[in-house]
Amino acid sequence: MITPKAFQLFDSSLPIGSFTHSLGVEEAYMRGYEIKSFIRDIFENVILRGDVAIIKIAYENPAKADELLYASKLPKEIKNASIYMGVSLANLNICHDEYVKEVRKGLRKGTYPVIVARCCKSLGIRVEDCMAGLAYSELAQMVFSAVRLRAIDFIEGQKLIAEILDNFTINVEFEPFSPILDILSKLHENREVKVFMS
Amino acid sequence: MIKIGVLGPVGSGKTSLIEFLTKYLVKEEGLKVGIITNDVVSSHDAIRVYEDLVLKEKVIGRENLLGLVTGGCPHTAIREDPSMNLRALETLSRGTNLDVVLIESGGDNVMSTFSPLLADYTIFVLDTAAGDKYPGKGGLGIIESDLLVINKIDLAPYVNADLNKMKLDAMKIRPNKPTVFISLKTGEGLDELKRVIKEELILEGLLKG
Repeated sequence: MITPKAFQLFDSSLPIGSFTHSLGVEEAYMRGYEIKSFIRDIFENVILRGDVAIIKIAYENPAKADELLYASKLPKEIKNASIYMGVSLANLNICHDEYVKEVRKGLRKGTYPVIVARCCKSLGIRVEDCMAGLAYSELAQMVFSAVRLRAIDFIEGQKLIAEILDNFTINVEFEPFSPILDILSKLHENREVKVFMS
Repeated sequence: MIKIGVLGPVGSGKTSLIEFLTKYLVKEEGLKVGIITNDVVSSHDAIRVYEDLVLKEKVIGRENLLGLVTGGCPHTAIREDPSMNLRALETLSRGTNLDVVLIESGGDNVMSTFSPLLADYTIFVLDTAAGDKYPGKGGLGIIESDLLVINKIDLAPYVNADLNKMKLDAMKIRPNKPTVFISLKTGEGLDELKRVIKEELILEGLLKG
């Protein structure tokens, strides 16, 4: 059985500042992208092949996973978003893990998926459940951002989440790749009036 | 160090109040002040404070000011999920021995409040230009704040805002809590505002009575 603590970890109201990050959705919407396709694309190529895939590595070797993931995120906004959420999660002090402790002390970077993985491991959550949890959590973050921007309505948003979750697999290699997200994120850095920090 | 949270609706005068308080606390009381501004969509308030207090008046150093862009949820950023503000507070306090940190919320509605982890003392700012329905209609932010400031009293006659009604309403919904009526433009009521703030800082041990 999945431990109830997993629900706390992946709750969208967990206070780690995720509400200020759209993960590229804002810039994509402002530039006229079809937002549902954009979310599907980023989910497939960045979330699943990046943040979710790194969890497996982070269960065994968090330092390597942290360096790898940090290096894979090119634009400053995307790097910062991951670090801000990761360090905020570490600072909540809800999981007891040596690596998380080092992040709290400022000795490690603390990318969000790596902290999630260490929390999952210390809470006795199976690696597959942890990967699924993170996939849902980041997908929901993008969809909620799209709803806040009025790019889609809340019913369309829930339908999109259900459709994507119906068809996804977590058995993928670590190979995140989305030059479109990188370019959009660089453009977003210079946007003066914005709703999200990324 | 005391953390003072300033909140209230858009355009009520939060940034002007913070600028006034900073000048008062630094110049008249000799305290070291830091400022965190929360803007909903841009760095507008941070830039304004930077130009006024850092460049023009040289009241605080550049390192004592941090501007955050919180997105569409200003209340979330100061209450349910203040992680971004707590991180800013940590950055601001690092290496600088501050006496007071003023934290400005993004413009919000009357239900907005600060997390007790983020602010030790809170000031809710209303203005008469929005009429005299408030503070009588209440709202968590108005009721819970330590000090209610009603700004722009010079505009009251032009918008038919009854200051006496506002005063009685404030006393009714905020029994035993202070309310001050001011105009940051004309200077009216500012001595009383300084007195209330000074009293709090004496209680906190930051100033002598």
